[in-house]
Amino acid sequence: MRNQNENQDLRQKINLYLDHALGAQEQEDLLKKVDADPRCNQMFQSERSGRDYIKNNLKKSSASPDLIQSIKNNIR
Amino acid sequence: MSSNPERNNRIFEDELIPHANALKTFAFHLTYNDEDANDLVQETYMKAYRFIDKYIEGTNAKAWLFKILKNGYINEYRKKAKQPNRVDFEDFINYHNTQDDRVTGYNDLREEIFQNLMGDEVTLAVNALPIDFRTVILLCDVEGFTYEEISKIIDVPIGTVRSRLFRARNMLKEKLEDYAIERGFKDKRGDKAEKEI
Repeated sequence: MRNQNENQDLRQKINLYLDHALGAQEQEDLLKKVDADPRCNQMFQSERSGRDYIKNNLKKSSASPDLIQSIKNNIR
Repeated sequence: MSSNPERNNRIFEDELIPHANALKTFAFHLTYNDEDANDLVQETYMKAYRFIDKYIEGTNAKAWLFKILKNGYINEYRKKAKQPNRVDFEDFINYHNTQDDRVTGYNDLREEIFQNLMGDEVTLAVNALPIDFRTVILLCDVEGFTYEEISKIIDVPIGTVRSRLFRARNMLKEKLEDYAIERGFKDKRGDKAEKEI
């Protein structure tokens, strides 16, 4: 049970780090832990690659040149 | 404050237009429809230009535009869209939110799951999320806004942003795991999974 809570705390810190929501000292502490502990490193890489996968594979939709021109025409 | 057309046009061209693609992607995942997304983006820029005198050069144009777009979506499209009742869902969220921002029960999205996915599943999974969860995923994980920026864009406290992100990410991971299982992924870790680290 204690191990599970530690895992959850670590995963929460990793998510805060990836969200740029950790303070400088906490960031440093986390990165030291990730460097020193292979299993922490694995969790960190897993969370990060999960985020990257979602971001890279979500369908993107671009504003066409016609849309941009229409926007500019409408403000004139 | 008197209007300066040259300044306004410069700001519009240099600081606002560059975010058009990001706005279009956000609009598309709110409306599910390319035409509606185009209208929403167009409307956003019209409103931004109308209030451009109030915009301070070099500040957070992207967050400002996203806020305008989000409000435009709420005003126009939620009324028309056949979505689950937002008021009921908001009650659910508020009931489960507590003062304590600690979150527990993270789902683990393991790399082997990706090997069984084609990529389309991400779009399906994100678009299947309820609107409030989908919004925070799009704003944080796709567009990289901070909690504070998201809080201002969607007008909720930072604690609510965090808890919605936590729930949204867990839901997303569950959906992606479901898709992976449909494609043949088998979790061989069993009960050892949570004890490994």
